[in-house]
Amino acid sequence: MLILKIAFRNIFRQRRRSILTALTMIGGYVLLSMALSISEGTYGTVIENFSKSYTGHVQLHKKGYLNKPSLYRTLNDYKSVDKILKTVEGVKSWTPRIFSTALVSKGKKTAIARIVGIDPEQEAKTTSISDKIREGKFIDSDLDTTKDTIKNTVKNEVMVGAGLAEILNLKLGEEIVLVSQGADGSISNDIFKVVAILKGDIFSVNRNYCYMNIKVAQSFLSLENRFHEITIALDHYKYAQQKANILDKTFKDMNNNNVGNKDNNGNNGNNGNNGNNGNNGNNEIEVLPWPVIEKQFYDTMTFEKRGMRICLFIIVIIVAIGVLNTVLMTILERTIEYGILRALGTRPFMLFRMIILESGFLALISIVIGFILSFIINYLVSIYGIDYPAPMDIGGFSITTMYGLIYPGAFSTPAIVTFFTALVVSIFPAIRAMKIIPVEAMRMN
Amino acid sequence: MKEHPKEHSKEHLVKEYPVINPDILRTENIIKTYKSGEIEVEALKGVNISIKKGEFTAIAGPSGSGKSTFLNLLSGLDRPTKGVVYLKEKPISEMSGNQLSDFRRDHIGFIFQSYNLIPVLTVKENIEYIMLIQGISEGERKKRVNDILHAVGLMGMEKRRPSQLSGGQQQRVAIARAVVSRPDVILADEPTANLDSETANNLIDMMRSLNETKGITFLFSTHDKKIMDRSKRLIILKDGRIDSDKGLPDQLSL
Ligand SMILES: Nc1ncnc2c1ncn2[C@@H]1O[C@H](COP(=O)(O)OP(=O)(O)O)[C@@H](O)[C@H]1O
Ligand SMILES: [Mg+2]
Repeated sequence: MLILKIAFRNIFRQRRRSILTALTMIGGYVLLSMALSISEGTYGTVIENFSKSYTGHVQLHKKGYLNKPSLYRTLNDYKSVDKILKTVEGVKSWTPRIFSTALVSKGKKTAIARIVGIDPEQEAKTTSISDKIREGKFIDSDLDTTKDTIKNTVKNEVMVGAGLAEILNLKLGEEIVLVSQGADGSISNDIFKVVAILKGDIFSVNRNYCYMNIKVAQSFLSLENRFHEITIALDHYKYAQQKANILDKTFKDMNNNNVGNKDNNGNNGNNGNNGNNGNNGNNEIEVLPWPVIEKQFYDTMTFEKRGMRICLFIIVIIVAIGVLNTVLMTILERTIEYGILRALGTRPFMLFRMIILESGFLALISIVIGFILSFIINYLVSIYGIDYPAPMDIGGFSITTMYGLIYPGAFSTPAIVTFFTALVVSIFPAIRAMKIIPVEAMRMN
Repeated sequence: MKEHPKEHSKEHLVKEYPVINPDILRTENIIKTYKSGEIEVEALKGVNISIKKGEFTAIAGPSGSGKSTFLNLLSGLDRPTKGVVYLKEKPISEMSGNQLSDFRRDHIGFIFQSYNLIPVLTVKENIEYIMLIQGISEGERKKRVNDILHAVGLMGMEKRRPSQLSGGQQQRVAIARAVVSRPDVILADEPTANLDSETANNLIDMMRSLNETKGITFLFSTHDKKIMDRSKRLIILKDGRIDSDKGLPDQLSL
């Protein structure tokens, strides 16, 4: 339609002003796109670090364990879960764990420790635990690397958290005594050798941790072949919810099978103090994503991200003022012309459309240019990063360099924001143009 | 008599063989008072006229006599303080909003003193504009634009922008734009006032020849004696009243 042509040509008519307006919109677009890209990139780094540090992206427990951890809320035979995890695309690695609490003593000193039984191979593949060893070596594995077979006995070795080491004044190679209660109700105690002391981590989660081989823990706690948790690492944290759902469904569908449920009666000697857990529910597997497991951390992240809205708001204001200024000026300048168009029989609403179209065109051009520019910038920032003047603390992580993340939202959000701001801001001037009285407008000649 | 837009074919049937030539425009005791603050100016003090099809009428009078005011009321661009304007016996004062826009689009052609072409459109596009908002098909538009470009002598200039034309040429585009949509009447407010006298004469000649060959009705204002003399009917306004009206329709050969 000719109205479209008029609108389009008007943009090129006041070239300087159109360029200025376009620059405002392009600037707004690029700023917003960069902000989104960097924020997503930074939070992505933080989330990856966090999940890599301990939590993983998805965790598998017996239903209810997370709300009320109990020694008895166990699942059976983690090797059998392996087969199922292997079938799910996007699962990178996984590791089983077993937990309990124990009294630790060295000489006359005593402390409380959290026992974490891990599979050394799997754990190292799934989390960054091996990076956290301050001194010493990894605990004994049940794999005999020399013969490539599985050992029958695994050494009583532990890796202790920095806090525990400090309280008990532990040194490498020293022996400690652990006392705990086994699942069969008996008191168990044993001597363990400290083979590694871990770094304190920023969450202080592992300060009083005492890592040992899961086989050792199972026998120490009388939980033969059982486990509390499987921590799963995915290809990307953003798939956590989706994969958790898939896994959850897969395990539910296998309700009738024997997964994690082989010896239903093997461990029932303690049913007396464990009535709600008569092992009939070993098939009640629950798979949850990290935002649910680490709700507090997730909330912190969400809160930090909310800061982005201020950024968004500022950009909207910049674009809005720029566009409003242009459109108002244009309408003042073209009052006579609008008067003529009205006199010739153009309906008021057509003028309205024409003005909105003009802004829309200009916004579209700006968005295209803005997209190209910000794609280049975001790409470079995603590779080279930008150094913070001072390290920033986000969710407990100290970030020194921020990297951009290229994802659709970093481009679509600014596009939508720019476009609609331009349109919305043009409504008021367009209504003014609609109300122009032809005789009065033309008397200005 | 031959020029009837397709859109008006019903009216066309009725009016094809009229017993008497009906009025295209008629005013009944038009009064227009301008108020600016405390001051009231009575620009028109009771004007009665009727314009019939095929007229070539000049409204003359000194500056400030109310010519522009009157033409604006006839075209529905402004409303009279009192009195009624009829287009083909329909009172236009009862129309509002889009109705009035459509009315101007379909029934009134405009030629302005300062040409008032759309600067971003080419000659051809300017001429096409009204037909486009009327929804006339492309083939028909093309044909009409071609015809009118011939009639106003602007062949080969259809791709130019208004700024690339002289004043006289621009006003010829304006005439073409007014004529091409086949309105009932073309109102022109001092169409030659911005032109030198030779160009002005040529323009009036062109309008008159369109009137004679195509039967297009013209009503134009002027304060130029030479232009008045080219009209078939001359209405003289003085101080908001009709001072004289020479060459009434019944004296014309229609
Ligand atoms: N919008 C207006 N407000 C106030 N007075 C006006 C307005 N338009 C015209 N007038 C007055 O009305 C009278 C007629 O004006 P106009 O119709 O423009 O005359 P002409 O076109 O014959 O020169 C003049 O006295 C003029 O000052
Ligand atoms: Mg005037």
